[in-house]
Amino acid sequence: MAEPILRLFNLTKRFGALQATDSVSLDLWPGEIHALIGPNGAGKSTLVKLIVGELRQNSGSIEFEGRCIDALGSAERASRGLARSFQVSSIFPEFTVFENVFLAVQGAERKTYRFFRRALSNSEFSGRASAQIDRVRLSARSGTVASELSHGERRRLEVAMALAMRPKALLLDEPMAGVGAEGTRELTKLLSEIREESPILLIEHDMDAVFALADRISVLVSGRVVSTGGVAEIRRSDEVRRAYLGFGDE
Amino acid sequence: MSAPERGFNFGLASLLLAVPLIAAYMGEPYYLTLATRIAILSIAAVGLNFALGLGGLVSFGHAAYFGLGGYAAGILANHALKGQAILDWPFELGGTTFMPTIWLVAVFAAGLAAFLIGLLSLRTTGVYFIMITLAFAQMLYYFAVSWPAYGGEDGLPVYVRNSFPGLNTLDPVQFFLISYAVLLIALALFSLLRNSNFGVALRASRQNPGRVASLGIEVFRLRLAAFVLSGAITGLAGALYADLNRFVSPQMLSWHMSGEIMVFIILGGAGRLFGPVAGAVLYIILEQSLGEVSDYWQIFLGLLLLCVVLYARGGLIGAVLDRRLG
Repeated sequence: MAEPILRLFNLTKRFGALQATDSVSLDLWPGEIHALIGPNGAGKSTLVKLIVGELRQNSGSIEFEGRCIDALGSAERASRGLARSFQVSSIFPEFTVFENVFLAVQGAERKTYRFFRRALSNSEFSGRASAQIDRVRLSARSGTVASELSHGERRRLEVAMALAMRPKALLLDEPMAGVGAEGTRELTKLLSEIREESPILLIEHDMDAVFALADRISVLVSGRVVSTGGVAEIRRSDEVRRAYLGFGDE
Repeated sequence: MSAPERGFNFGLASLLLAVPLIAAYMGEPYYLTLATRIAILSIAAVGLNFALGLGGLVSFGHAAYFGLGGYAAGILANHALKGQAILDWPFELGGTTFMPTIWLVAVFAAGLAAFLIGLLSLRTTGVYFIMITLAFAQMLYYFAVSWPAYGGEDGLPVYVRNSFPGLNTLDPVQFFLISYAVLLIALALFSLLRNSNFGVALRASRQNPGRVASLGIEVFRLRLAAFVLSGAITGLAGALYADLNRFVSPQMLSWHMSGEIMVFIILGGAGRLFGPVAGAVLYIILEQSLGEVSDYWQIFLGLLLLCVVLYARGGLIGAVLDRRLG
């Protein structure tokens, strides 16, 4: 395809004197996983919040599917197909796993203003929810209240919720954080399958996972993209080593 | 809803119907009036339960909608009885004593007020939301006090109870049955909505509003819709309350009323279908039994409320059922 799904032009965000995002230009193409790496405090989370519309940039612009989405709120961006997972698991603790994922389907399909029919009796939505729960291998926990899930299960629930929206682009904010070696392996395999359905902007600290998954990597340091390129290129880059990988003198 | 809760609800609904009717049959009509009051106050609290129980919106100004419903009934009946038009221009609009019309007007007026108040107050959350809803209700209260056309501070008497086709509303049994039926309809509506797509999203927004937005659902719109619905139902209760007392006064709009409606829900169990009913029943029983012992019966109510908030977050229903379940 000739056009990127998501495109950032010179995105800038200041908090007082702090330049959290400094003229960031990035794009995400169909079928790819574009990893965003950088040390703590580099502005990765701010960038995610700008893209999903939780924060507004001071200048620059965001295009989604070729259209400027600067004026849209976060709910509208999400229902156009920009799905995300949260760095700190964000779920509905009193709902079951199934209800959590069901709501994601409902939100994406814009079917919230139905007042009288029993929601969970909608077989199409239920089927879609179950399929995604199955995919992250939480089927056995489908009827469990989300507050009782383990940390790793919550991370998987987050991914299922994002997938259930049938997104056109997926923003995953450290999906591997704290899931352990086995969990990381599983998620790596899952994300690798997903990329054909929906391109992923992956923010991740686990370098093995990033190098295994990413088609391209951008390195963010002090709010600026210092380098973008293929995996091999980034591994070689001195600047990246110095700034982030921390073994520049080898 | 669990099977024990369903049983509890059924039992409570049956008692609320049977006890006053048996008492009236045995020559104690006072209990009928009491039960009618319980039913009507329960409707008001079911209304608030949409916003508070499902949406987590702690409105401390629901007296506004209760009072507006009451004044809608009072004003329409007042004009009809005096034979005066409410409006002469741009079209002539007379009063009415026809209950279904009055209900429609009450629901519409309260819903419109909730829309306008919600439009402003739902931009805030937490303590600010509580204070803003309180402030709007107090504005209406002082307006009613200072506006002489409809009785001002003295209130507005409604000399004849409004009419319902095929029924004699002056008969306390029949008026009780009307109120009881409206309560059942309100409860049925609550139950339907709670499990609808709208209800699922609304309950989710109480738990984690930011996440709801990230799933593509506009939280403000969701809350506004719930708030309008909530106000409209409380307004309907207000219209019935005016008919019960044959009198409307600014007291219906005061913050005491808002507090009372909220206490019903907290006592009974927020978000639960029969929470408002259980709370209203308990409140009126306490008022009647302790009220005889002491003028300061609300001290005991306060203690009870404290215990519920500290030890039984699920309210009375939660306390009863959780014990049974072990």
